[in-house]
Amino acid sequence: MSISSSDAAHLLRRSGYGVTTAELDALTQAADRQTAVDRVLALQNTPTDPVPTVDDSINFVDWWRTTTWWMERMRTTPVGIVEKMTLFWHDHFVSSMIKVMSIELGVKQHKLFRDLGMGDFEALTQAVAVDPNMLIYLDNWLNMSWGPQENFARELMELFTLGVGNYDENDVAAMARAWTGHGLTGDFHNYQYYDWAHDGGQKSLFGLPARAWNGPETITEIVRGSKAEVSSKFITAKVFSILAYPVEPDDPAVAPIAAQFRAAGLDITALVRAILLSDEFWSPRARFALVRSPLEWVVATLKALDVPVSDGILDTDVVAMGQAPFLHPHVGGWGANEAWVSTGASWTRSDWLSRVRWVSYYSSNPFAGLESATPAEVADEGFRRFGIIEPSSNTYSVVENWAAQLRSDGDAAYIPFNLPMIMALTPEFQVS
Amino acid sequence: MTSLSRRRFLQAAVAASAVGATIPRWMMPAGALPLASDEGMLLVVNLGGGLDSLSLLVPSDGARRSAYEAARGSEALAAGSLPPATVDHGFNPSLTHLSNRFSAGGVALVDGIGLPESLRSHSLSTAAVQSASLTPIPTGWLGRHLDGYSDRGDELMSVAVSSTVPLHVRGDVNQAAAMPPGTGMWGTDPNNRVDQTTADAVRAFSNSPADHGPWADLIAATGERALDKASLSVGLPTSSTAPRGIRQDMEIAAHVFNADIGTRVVAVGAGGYDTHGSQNTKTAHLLGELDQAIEGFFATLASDRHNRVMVLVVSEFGRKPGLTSSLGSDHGYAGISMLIGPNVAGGLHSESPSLTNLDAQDCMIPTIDLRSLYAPVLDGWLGGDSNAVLGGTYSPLGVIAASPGTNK
Repeated sequence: MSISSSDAAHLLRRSGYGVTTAELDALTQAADRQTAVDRVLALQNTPTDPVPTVDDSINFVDWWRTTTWWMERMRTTPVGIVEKMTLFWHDHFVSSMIKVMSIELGVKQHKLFRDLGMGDFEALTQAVAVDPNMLIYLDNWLNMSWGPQENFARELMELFTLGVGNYDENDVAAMARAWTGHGLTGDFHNYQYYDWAHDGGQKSLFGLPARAWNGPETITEIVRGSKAEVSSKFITAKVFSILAYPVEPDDPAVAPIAAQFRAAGLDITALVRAILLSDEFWSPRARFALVRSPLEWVVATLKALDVPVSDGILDTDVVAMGQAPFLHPHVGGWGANEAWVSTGASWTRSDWLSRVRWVSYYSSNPFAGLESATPAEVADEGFRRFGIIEPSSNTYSVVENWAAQLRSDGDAAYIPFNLPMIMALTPEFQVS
Repeated sequence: MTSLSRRRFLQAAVAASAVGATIPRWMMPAGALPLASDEGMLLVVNLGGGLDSLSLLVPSDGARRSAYEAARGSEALAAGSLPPATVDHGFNPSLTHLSNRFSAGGVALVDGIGLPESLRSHSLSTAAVQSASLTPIPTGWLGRHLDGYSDRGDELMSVAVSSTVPLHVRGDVNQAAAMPPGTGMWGTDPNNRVDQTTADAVRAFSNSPADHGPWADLIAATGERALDKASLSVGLPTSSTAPRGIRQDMEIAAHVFNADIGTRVVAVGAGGYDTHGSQNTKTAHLLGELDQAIEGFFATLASDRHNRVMVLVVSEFGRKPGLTSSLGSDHGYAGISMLIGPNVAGGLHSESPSLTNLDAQDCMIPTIDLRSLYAPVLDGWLGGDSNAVLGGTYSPLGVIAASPGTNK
């Protein structure tokens, strides 16, 4: 018994950033889906090279050094799920170097997502709430008893733990008071609690008896107390939507997985495992149900071409594609799927490919020799290298006819040069 | 609206309702139609985060000034430092050029704007403002309007100068082109035979379904249309020497209007207006950028387009009048919008909201429905049908003084 290459490719795409032949061959050796899931969750194999050391300022050189380091990790790691979830938490607990005015604090928060992002959800949320990057991004460091301010309080419930409709405006006001006094040290680099700036009075939250709520207790109340079920469904739906297919918290697929998440004490690895082992994850509905985001698609392309990220892409490309880490445009995050389908996406993707094909051709040149191959051999090798297991008959014949056309025009020498471009622009390669 | 453009719009709307969106996307006709000289164009500017209306139009005299000083305390902007606006309000000190435009009758201000329900979440309120609907729907008000044209499905009818397409211009059929600054247009060199062969292959991906779900088919169809539209966009400056951000984006927007490639609506956006802290410093900078961006836009816009283009500025909500400990303000309710251009009816078109009679959450209560601003823009400027687009009749504000292509 072993799993099919179609199943293995699905699991590799969702848990990581592309499908190489070597990865596919290894995973199809797994006896069953459970064994395969265990393999992609072998967190102990995560590389240990450190995140770059960076400046305490808006420094675009350091920003790009960090971003390419991270994208290169995505490209090369044997444990893609760690990077996927680190990116997920980065988009869940959004921030911007421009607002925070320090890439160092962004990197510090990134390490937090990396260290805690597969662990206890409450520990992660508590740590993020008092992380300097978040305290500055959502202004909570200046939230004082004499003029409570709602920015963090609202997003803690709306975006981070509960979702709209599961709290009201009175809860927002009470939550803002609960989070007064949670500030920063004088150098802005560490959390410090100021009791004299905290509103210690009684507050009514979620219709519970009034008490002197103080910030961190509210997170415990949400994730483990009276809002635990709602909160676990909210988080489960968000993670399910990036790993399986897009759902809302009230989708029938969510409740049983959220129950497993709670039973596991809010362990995020247990949540990921439950999703990857669910029938829904392996169902036809989940297959190709997601659009590869720009970062996913770029990394998968460079992985297929064997080109390092630092050679393969410019900072301006990442910005034009609209998914620049550490530079979220607004608190709502990047969006997904439909956000990445537009003429602009097609333009920026082909514009980038028209340049990266030169890098590929003059470095790794993965398609060397195909200038003298038959059109079918060209197509087979292109799909194999790009991890496209089951191209549609139309896509296959388009690639075959393209190679035949170049040959009949006397342009066969250009096949190795242009095959990366046409492969990365297949509809099959742009979905996950 | 002239009878010609009205007829064309209605014919297209009938055709659209007869066949609906059931035509496969890869069968849509391509090719931009140039606009007639009496058709209006719109630049819609989204100020993301929730613009503080009191920082834009500042009370300078009378009872509202007293209430403003009481609410903002030491952060109240000095009345003497404000560029002139109305008799008892001035503009933010950073808006000197806008003040001049206002004095010349080229700015319609709509203060106290909002929808019938207060949505204090950024995402919900942005969706409501851009869809003109309190219940979530997947189309924007301008996207629905553009769906009515016979060249529907032509993404160059609306262009977003950004990486993604805002809801404003998303229709059932109409897909706006996202045109991020600086993007090259691959596949447009007719002399590059190999690239043309490759581009033809990319087009052919949409010949039939890819058996990889609906996203793959949409991507294939979008890729084909992107190549078709790329050749129309060749030569269009996609960057400028203006500083990155709203100033550059609005200059690119002017180039798009100048190019006459069938574009009726351009969407741009600026972020950072979520001023929970250090509000005065932030709005001074942000509104200064906006002021420069508006000047840069009209300076770049061809002279024969000035009386055919208007700039609409919107934000998802206003902010509370009260100040927080971080010298900013929280999400509010009533906000402010502006319509800018030589053909607007200049002045303040609504009553500024009360600073003393607030709602239960201490927010200003709207005095005018947002859709009363959208309606005249649709009917009087874009030649559309506001009843159909907005799903109801909203008494239109008299913000349009002269129809497109004429001078007031």
